[in-house]
Amino acid sequence: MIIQLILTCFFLGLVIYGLISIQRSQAIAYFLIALSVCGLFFVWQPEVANSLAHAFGIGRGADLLLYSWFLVSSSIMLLLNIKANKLHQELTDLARSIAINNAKNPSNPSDFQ
Amino acid sequence: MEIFWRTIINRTDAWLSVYLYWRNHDGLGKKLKDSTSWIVIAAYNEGSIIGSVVRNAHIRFTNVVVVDDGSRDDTGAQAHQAGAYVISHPINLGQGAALQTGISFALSKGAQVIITFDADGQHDIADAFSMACRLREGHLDVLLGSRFLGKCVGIPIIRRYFLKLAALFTRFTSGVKVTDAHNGLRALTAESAKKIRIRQNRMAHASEFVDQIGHLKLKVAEHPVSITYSAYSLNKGQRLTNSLAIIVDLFIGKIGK
Repeated sequence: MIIQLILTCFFLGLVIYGLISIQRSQAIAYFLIALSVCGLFFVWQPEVANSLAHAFGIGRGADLLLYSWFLVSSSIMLLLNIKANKLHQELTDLARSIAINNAKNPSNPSDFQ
Repeated sequence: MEIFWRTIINRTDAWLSVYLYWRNHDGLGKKLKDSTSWIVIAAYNEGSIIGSVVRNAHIRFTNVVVVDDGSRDDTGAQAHQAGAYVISHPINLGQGAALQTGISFALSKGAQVIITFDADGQHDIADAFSMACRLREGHLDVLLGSRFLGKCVGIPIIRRYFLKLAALFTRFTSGVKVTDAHNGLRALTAESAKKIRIRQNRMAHASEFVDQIGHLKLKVAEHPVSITYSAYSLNKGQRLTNSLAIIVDLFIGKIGK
């Protein structure tokens, strides 16, 4: 019962965060809310998780949730990595522009003609 | 019969020497300098050697640009003193990023041929000159240096086989037949330099470069070059353990497009 209350508070917090973030990014907000609602449902209806697990060939509902969480978090990490790469590319372009604008000409150009 | 063939070979060598001398010197015997090709050198913490590399490059090329990739020593100052254009990245971005910066700068200055050259002194400037001459003949867009077609002095055996494996991997992923995929000595025409865009900042740029050549269907060939490994260049070179990081970078790069 205690863990159910703790998890309920956690998922409700995620729902509130999702609602606040709707204006910033709708897709992520709705995904977060959907995930939290599913989480809340399985916290209070664990027998449904067990039935679903059996349908997937898994022994326990908790194991199903664990595997699902692994898939979701791995996908999130991959997407974050792609996002980080894009930001890094933008930073590179900015640094390049600054560097080229401040390029130094050779000290004695006539020596090298 | 043997004397006949020896005479033919000796005469051929003699004529080849005359031809090479004629191509590389003016009427007064002074070595010709290439003023429309640009040497691009990416450097990171190469303060002890960059001066000599730049001065060596100036023997055959008028325009040398060194991209100081956020070095913590006096690489930029040494390169500037030696007579190079110097572009300094405000932070360390990686060799790929530094090369792209140098290429963009050279293009803005009207370069007709761009040659990437390593900062650790393992390349021979004569190879760069002959690559520039070969590109000017007009049949090719890109020339990639290959140590396995030329000469490789002091290479550890493990590195030799690892590089051959890397070349196989690049052949498979890019479709471009290369024998040496991670050679820093490359020459490209201005038109092909405008089409190629290096996005991999770190060491994966070498594979990305060949990938783009294959994707853009550029006319590419390999050129025999000499690589001389020293204790300094071996210490500065890529670690074999970086290969996994390169593969991951390439994978993330392809997904992110």
